[in-house]
Amino acid sequence: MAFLLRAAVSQLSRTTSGAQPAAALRCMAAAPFAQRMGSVRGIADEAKDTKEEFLAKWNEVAPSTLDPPSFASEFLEKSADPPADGAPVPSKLTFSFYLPHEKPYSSAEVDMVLVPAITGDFGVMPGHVPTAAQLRPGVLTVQEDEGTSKKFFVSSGFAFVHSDSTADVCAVEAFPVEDLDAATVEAGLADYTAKLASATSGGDDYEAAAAQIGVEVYSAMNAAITDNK
Amino acid sequence: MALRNLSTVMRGPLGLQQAGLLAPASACAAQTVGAPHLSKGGPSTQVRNASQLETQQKMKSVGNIMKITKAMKMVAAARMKGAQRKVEACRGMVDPSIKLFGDNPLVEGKSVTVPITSDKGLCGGVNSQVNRVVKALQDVRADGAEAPRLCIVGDKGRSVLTRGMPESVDFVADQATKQAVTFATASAIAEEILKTDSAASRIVFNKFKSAIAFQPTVATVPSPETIESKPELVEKFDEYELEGPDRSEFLTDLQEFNLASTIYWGMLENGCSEQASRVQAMENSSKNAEEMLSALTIKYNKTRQAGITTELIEIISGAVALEG
Repeated sequence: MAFLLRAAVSQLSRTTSGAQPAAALRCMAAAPFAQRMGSVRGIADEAKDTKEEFLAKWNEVAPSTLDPPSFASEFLEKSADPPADGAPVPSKLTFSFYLPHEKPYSSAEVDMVLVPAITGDFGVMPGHVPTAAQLRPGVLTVQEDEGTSKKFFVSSGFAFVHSDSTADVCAVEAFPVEDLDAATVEAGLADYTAKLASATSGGDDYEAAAAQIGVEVYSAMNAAITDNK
Repeated sequence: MALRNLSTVMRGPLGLQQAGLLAPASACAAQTVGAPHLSKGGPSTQVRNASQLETQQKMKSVGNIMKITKAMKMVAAARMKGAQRKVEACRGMVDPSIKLFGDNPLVEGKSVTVPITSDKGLCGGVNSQVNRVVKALQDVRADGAEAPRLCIVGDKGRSVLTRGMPESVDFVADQATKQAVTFATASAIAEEILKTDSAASRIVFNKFKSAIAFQPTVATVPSPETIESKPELVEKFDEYELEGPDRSEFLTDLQEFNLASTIYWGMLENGCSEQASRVQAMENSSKNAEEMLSALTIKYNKTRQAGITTELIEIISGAVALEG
């Protein structure tokens, strides 16, 4: 799968000493968690769930000794009441950043987030219009407050901005841009460019696609390093 | 040995309350097992020795089992701690999509059930819970929908479900937990499931609530076609500005990603539940083994003491007979 390949490629370019700054970052990000949790919909979401009908059918066909199972939606973080239509826009954005192996941000209050979408970068501030974006390999910048901003290289994923000034980013792999190793990136880029050339001339579609992804990710990492200098 | 013990007894004024008789079972064991001596002669002593031997062997095997279950419990407890950390780190990845598309476990059309079970046994009731829910889930579907296909993860699910409903099984992914579960593992499984081209996938696993509580849970991941067919979901999704490829490609990519994330989440939760359940199961085993061992020890000592008493009586009555 494409997003997995991108993640693997980006992970390979991390420096071995990257563990320390990453750990420090985790400590900082863990500090203040907002009281307000999760994100909220304007429309009642019960209307689109079929849990009630499921339970009714369950009681019909399942053995009476078997309790019905729980549902994934029962384990979401508790969401606050939807804000009234005329409510003022909050001053901070509630940002959550989900990775399979950690949560760098979990309902943290930040000023702005710069998201690298396929169609281009866009900045998310409180009051942003609801957006669903697919991410390209690139740099995600989180501006926590005046002066503190953190940059993460994201392999790929999705970003959602909801109507109540909450933003969720789900990515397969992400780490601080400082962890990128320039030498490995250069080598990888050269390697995949060669592979792409040979695959396109050879006519193997799968290999060509994989090589294309490799070139894409390594170029993005290269750009991220150059921008960060 | 018997003669030696007897002489200790005869010397002391307290008779039976001699140190020799109160020697620990292990000391006696060493002496009894040594040789099948016929020194005392008579079949009666041999019978006594044989039953002692049998009890001793039982004690030894129960003791070994207790050691093994105690070790397994400690290993499972350590693994559970690690698994718990991983689970807490991964929770939340599927939340945005559930908030966006809701939770629709009652599927219409062709669906796939993905039971997540363990590969190894001795883990209590976690696997049987999942298997029972999966069997019931075969019938919980909208009227007119066909029976769900099964894509089983884990050996324990395979052994039960392929016996019960072999024609519904599409594939089995076992030994998935042989190495640490990563997002790549979940993606590989998701890729196989996507080949079945179904309207929704229902992943069944045990949610880790605490070290003693696990809740069978069903997480549903609809396909892009299912989402587009529901007007209220379309209306909700229309509110969002799309930054990316066109709508259908976006939804396809998103749902592929969600399927992999949900399977990853389910595998981690089930893995943690499995370890916690194994801790409990091994704890119960150790306790039972301990009780058995103490019962056997009492039995052994009773037999041993009865044997010695009988010997004493024989000798004393013999001595009295000689005098008289």
